[in-house]
Amino acid sequence: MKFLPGLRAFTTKSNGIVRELLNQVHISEAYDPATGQPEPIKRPYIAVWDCGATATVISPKIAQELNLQPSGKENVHSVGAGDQSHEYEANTYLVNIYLPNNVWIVGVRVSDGGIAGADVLLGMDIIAFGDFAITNHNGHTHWTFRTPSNEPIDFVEEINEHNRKHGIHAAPLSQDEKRKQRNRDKKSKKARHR
Amino acid sequence: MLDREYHYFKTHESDLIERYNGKFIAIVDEEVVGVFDSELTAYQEMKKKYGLGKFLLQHCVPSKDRVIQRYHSRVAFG
Repeated sequence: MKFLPGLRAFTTKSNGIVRELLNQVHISEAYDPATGQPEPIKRPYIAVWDCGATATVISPKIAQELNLQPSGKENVHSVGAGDQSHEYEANTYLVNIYLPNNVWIVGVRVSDGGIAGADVLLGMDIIAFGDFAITNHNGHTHWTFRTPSNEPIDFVEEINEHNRKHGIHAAPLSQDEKRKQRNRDKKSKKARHR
Repeated sequence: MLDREYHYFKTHESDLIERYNGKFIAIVDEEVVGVFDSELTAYQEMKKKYGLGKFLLQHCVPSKDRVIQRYHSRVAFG
């Protein structure tokens, strides 16, 4: 594996299987650390990872506590009662998001909205900044994120590679697959005799 | 807040996209006051010049290239 320069990552390990991926993150008004300007106030909040969201949302409480002012507006679609899609006009803010282990995302456009069970909803815009994986080995949920994206993760390719390395052939056929295979063989035999 | 600016953007959206394709524009009242390559630069410069809450930043991209914000769970707007 090769590592790209500037690669940063964090891993969260839970004690059991979890049904929601929560992290403590810090949020501040957007600023570019490279400019050497003083860092704005940043505060800790609970964030939930949500790949069903195309973008990131903060609760109105965060906008209030950090004294954020809207810098844009966006039409957003949310699925409500009875599977109906509703369209709203939401304020947007530009913020920095500080994930664990010094993984920073600078200048993220977020909307404000009510979020159940968390203060921040991290959507696919954040996930798309890098690579994100979830495992549940031995009954412990681990999730890990790195940015920028370093290389693809492919479980099928991992299994194939393992099998090639250890001389393991493809999994044995089930009874149904064996029957289908026999029928295919019969058909091709008939075709050859014609 | 920024309703007037957003209304201006929505009313003139196709003209603005044609004119400033791919750029971030800053709107104050009903006027484009800045054109930028990056939203963060736009934010910092307009904050200095006009103060927060006084300008609207919009990305001028055709609707086919724009990611529609969709939420399938746990978030409520409006």
